[in-house]
Amino acid sequence: MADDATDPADDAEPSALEEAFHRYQENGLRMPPVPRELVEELDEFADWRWGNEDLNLEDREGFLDVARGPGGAAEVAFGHVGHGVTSWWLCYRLHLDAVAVYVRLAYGGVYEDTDANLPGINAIAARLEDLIPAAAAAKAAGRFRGGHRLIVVIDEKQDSFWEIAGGPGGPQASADPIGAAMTFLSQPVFNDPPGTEAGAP
Amino acid sequence: MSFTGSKKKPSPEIKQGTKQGTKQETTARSSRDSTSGTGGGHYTQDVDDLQDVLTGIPDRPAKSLMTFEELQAKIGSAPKKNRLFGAYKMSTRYKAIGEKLAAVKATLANATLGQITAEGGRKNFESALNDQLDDIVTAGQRYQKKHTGKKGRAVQDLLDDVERFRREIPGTLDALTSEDDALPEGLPLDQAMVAKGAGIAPGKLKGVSPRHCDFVKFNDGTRAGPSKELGKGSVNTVHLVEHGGVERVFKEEQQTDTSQAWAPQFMGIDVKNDPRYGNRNVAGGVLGKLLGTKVMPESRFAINDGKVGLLMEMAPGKTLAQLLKSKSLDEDSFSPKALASLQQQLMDLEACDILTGQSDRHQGNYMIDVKGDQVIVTAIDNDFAFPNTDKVTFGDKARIPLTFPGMNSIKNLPALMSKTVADKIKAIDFDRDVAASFQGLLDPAEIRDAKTRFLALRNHVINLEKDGYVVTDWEKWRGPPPERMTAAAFLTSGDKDKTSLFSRDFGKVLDL
Repeated sequence: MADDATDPADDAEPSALEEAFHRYQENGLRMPPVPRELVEELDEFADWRWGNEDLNLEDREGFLDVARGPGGAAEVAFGHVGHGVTSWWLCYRLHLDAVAVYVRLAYGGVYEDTDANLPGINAIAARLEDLIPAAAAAKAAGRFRGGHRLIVVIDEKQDSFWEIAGGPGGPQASADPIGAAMTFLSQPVFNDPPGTEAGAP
Repeated sequence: MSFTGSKKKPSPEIKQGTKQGTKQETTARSSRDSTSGTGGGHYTQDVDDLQDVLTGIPDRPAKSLMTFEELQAKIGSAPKKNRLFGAYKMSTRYKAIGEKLAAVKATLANATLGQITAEGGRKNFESALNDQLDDIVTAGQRYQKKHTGKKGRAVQDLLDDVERFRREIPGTLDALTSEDDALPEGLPLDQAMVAKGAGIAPGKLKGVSPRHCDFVKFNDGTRAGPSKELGKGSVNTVHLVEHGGVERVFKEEQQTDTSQAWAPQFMGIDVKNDPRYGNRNVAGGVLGKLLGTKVMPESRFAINDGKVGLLMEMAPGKTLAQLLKSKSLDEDSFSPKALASLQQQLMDLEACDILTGQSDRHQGNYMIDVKGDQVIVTAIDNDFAFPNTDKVTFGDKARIPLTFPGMNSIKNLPALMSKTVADKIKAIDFDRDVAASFQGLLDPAEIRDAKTRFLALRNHVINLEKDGYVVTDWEKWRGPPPERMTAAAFLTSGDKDKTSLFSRDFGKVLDL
C-alpha cells in the first residue's frame, strides 16, 4: 500500500456512539453504558444529547411511570441539559427488561466545582456497568421476588432511591442506591424483600 | 446600501458607549462630518462608502457626548466642594458645566424611541436637546473666560464634542428610528445608541424589558479585559465579565428554551417563543428589593461580545448542593448568630419564592456564604418563576404556593417570617408599588397572578403577626408555651413545617 493511501474507514462519518464517547472523553467524563442492542439506533438529537429516541432527559416522573409498569420498550438516552447559570445536569435514562436507571448529576454549572465532581460522576458510570448485567442475572435467577424490574434513581436535583417495581417494599431512599441495590441483588433468593427483611423494625 | 441596514461593528479601536475615541480619531470624525453637510442622508452615504473600503469606520450612533468624568480627567481636578455648609460656594462655573452635561444625559436617558417617533416628538426632542447643548456651550464659554490654559483647552475639547454631537443628532435619530431595523419603542435613547453601535439586531431584544437595559454602563467598551467563558459541557452562553472592578456573570438571553425542563411548561411559560427568562430574573430582583431583602440578586440587561443578556453580580460562597457534596456542613458549621441569620434569609427566600411563584428552588439553586457570624444567602437561576395560571397545564392552579409533581417549589406558606419582610408586605400597595415595577417585565396575566399570591401572603402575614410568628430576633425568638421552641426547632417540627426550605435542606445536616 502506498504511503499516502487512506483507509476508507478514516473518511467515514463517526457514529453517534463515537461522537458521544469522544465528547464525554474530551471533558474527562466516562460515557454511561449503552446496551449493545440499542447501539445501532443511537442518534444525536441536539448538541450534547443522544438516545435511541428523542427522549426528555429531565422527565423523571414520566420515566418512572413507565418503569414501574411491566414491559415497555428498551430505551436509552443521555447528555447534558439545563438552564440558567447553574441548573445544569448530566443525565442518563435507561429502560430495559430487568433494570431501569435514572441519573441526574450536577455538572458544568458556573458555581459548581466540576473538576472536583468528576471522579464521583465517573464512578457512577463505571458502577452502572456492573449493575446492569447484575440486575439481568438477578431477575433470571428469580431474585426480584415477584417484582419485574429493578429501578435505581440517582438524582442530585431531587431524591435518590432504589426499588423493585412490582415487588414488595416500595422505594428505598439511599445515599448510595447502586450499592444498596447491588447488595440486594447479591442476596440469596430466600431473603425477605427490601424493607421487610427478617428482624427489620 | 443603506446605513441602517449595516450590521458592521465598530472597530475595536473606537470604543462604544461612554468611552472616548482618541483625539486623532475625533479629528478624523470631525473631518468627515464637516464634508457631510447638514443632512443625515449625505453623512450616512459617506459612512457606508467608507466602511466598504476602510476598517475602523464606526456606525453613526457609536459615540455619545463626552461625560463629565472624562472632562474632569482632562482638566485634572474635580470641582472644589462648597465650604462652611455652603456659605462659600466654590468653582460654580466648573460645576455648572457638569450640571448642564447631566441634563443632556438625563434627556437622552429619559426619552424613548417611541416618544421620538410619536407625532411631533422628534421636533420637540431635538429642540429641547439643542437648547441643552446651547446651555453647555454657554457654561463652557463662561469657564473659559477665567481659564485660558490647559483647563480652558480641555473645556474647548468638550465644546468641540458638543458641536460634533449636535451635527450627528439628525443622522443618529434617523438611524435609531428607521423602520427597517427598529429597536423596541420603549428603549431609552442613550441605550438605543449603544445597542445600535454594538450591532444589536432588534430580534435580540425580543423579550427583553427596555426599561431594564443598562447598555450604557455595561457594554464591550466599558468592560475591563476580555470576557471569560464559564461552565462546562453545553453551558456555552455564560461568561464572567468585569466592569468597574466588579465581577459579574453574563448570560446571553435566549429566545427559545431548549432545556427540556418540565417546570416552565407546567407553569404556562411559552418555552418555544417567549420564555423571557431574563425578565423573570429581573422581576425577582425587583421584588426582593421591594421586600427589603438581598436574597434575590438585582440584575439587568447588558451587552457582552455583541450579544444581549442578563448581567448578575457573582454570588459569594457555594451552592448548598456543593457544600453538602463536599461534606462541608455539619451541626458545628453555624454559630448561633450565623444560624439565626441563615434562618431569616431562608425564610425571606421562601417569601420571595412564593410571591414569584418559583418552581425550581433545588439545592444547587442558591448560594451560601458563611464567614463567622455572617451568612449570605443568594438565590440564583430565578428563570422558572411567574406562572400564568390561564396556561398552567398541571397541578392545582388555585393553590398558593403553586406546586407541581417532581418540582422543587416551596410547599407551604411560611411558618415564620422576619419582621422586616412582614412590615414591607403589609406596607406595599401591589398596584402602586409592584405592578408598576413589573411593567415591561411580565405580561398582564403574570402580574395578575403575582397579585393573587401577594394578597394571600399578606393575609397570612397578618395571621402570623397575630399569633406571634413574626420574628424580630431569630436567635432569641421562642415559640408558644409550653414547648417554647427555638426558631430552628420550630421550623423543623411537625409534618406541616417539614417542608420549609430550612427544614428540607438543613434539618438533617444540622441534626435538628
